[in-house]
Amino acid sequence: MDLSELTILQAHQGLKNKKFSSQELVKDCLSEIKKNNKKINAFITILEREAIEQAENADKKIVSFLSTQGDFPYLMGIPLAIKDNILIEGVLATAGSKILSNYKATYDATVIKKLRAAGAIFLGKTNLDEFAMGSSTESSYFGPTKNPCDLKRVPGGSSGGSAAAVKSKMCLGALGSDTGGSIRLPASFCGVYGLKTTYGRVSRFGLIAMASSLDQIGPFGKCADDLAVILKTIEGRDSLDSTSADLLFSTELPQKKSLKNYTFGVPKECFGQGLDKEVKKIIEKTIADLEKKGAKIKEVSLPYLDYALACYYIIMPAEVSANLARYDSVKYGYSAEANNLLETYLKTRTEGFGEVVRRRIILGTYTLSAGYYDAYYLQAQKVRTLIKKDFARVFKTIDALITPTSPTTAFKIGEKMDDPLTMYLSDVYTVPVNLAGLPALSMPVGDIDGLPVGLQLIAKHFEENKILDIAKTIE
Amino acid sequence: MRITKEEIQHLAQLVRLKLSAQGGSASGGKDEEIKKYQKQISEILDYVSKLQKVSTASVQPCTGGTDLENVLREDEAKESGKETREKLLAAAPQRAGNLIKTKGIFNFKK
Repeated sequence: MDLSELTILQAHQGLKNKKFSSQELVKDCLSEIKKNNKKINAFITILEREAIEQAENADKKIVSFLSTQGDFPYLMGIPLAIKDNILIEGVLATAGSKILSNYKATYDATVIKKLRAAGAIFLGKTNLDEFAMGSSTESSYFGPTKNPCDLKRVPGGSSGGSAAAVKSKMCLGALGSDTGGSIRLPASFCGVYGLKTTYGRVSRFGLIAMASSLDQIGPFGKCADDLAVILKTIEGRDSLDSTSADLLFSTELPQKKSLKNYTFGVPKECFGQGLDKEVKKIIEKTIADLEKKGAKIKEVSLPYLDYALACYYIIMPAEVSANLARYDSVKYGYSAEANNLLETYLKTRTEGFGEVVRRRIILGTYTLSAGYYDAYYLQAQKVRTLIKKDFARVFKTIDALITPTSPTTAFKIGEKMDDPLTMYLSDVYTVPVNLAGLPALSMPVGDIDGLPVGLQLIAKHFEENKILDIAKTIE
Repeated sequence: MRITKEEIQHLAQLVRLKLSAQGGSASGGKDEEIKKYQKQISEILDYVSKLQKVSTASVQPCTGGTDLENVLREDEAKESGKETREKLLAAAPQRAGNLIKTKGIFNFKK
């Protein structure tokens, strides 16, 4: 059997029973990468030598853990892929941009430190839309990632490389980041599991910032269990990230429960205009099945959801314009040759940022300008409050919300690049979750002509355990 | 159009982008890129203007996903050590000893 096909828990069991070593596991993944990365373009950087070294160490640690404690951490010896906006010391961290194309991280992100301590192995850094801005992984300076289910189609974005790597067995699990759907959309388009964590649950220290009131790191995997073991390892308060929540978390391995325990809310706003008919059929059939098995289904209304995308497209670019001011060609990264400092700034930023990034910086600066601030940014922040309240109200009577992850299946490469508004609509069901800071999971529930359809489960703040249980029960 | 070409050019200058210099990889000519952004940003502004319809008279603005409070600490300088300093300096495109080197702000005639 090909070891790269295993789930994390299966691989853990195999390592424990000495059926194979971490080195064998890593080599199987590396051989998948060698075979398929040229056509899929999931990885920007492949850490072959480092991964094999890490695996040798992990194998030794596993032996000593087994002899002293009889068990070892779930992720010990498990090969993972990391989105290229998360820093690994000494390794390129490009964020998919020319402006960071030569930047080697000077420190480990907190999530990397935690994974390292648990004995996880880093196979490489995965492709993404430039600075995680996009829904298709097409805007990367390193070229688009292809969807493993159909190479003519996008994998979704912005964490398209991570989702494609999990789908095509190049790794057992992966990290992504989610600002408006960047974990859930690629999970949906590629047919894998992805979890956007509650704002504040996972430290963002060492995540290259895009829109700071929205960004969160989260896991990709082949099943709910795998999401849980990665989350369990990376979560928790970090004094280096002042937005990390001062709470004690304890993600548990998900349990299959009776569906009779659950009341699901189905927001009518997510089943109207714009939703592909075939996608709708699959999601409605899944909901009907849940009801048959005893779940209570309740139609709910979140009237302000219709404003979420507009709200997001003011708040996100505004924060982007501030966060990306730091790329000045002086301290690190790409630096263009010019005669004076101003010319250096202009030339570096113009050559270093791609089209999508430049557009968002200009838009964000506009909506923050004197005279426009109240009408755009402040109004968007107030609408954000209303969206958050909408969610809080419906969660009083339900356990979780069910929606499609995206209105369509994966679209063709090149189809939407020149039409930002149409591209944005891919995120219409995922964006509200980020505005409200909630946790949400995307899981595959069917396909249309081989293209996966994702179901989104949304819960209250910090209720990741609940949606993981539900996902495990449905899968 | 909700935004003029002149506004796009002014904003680009503020954020240190030189749109006319590159002309956009996909769009070809000089003016083309400004025009393209003008059209795209105007369309986005048209779309987001639907927010103006929402009544928010007594609504407080929301600044983040969860109800976090300010995190405060003493403003103390900490020694980071030679090794860290060297790593950070090594990342700079140009350096002079323990300093980061940049181009001058002014052009002096020689």
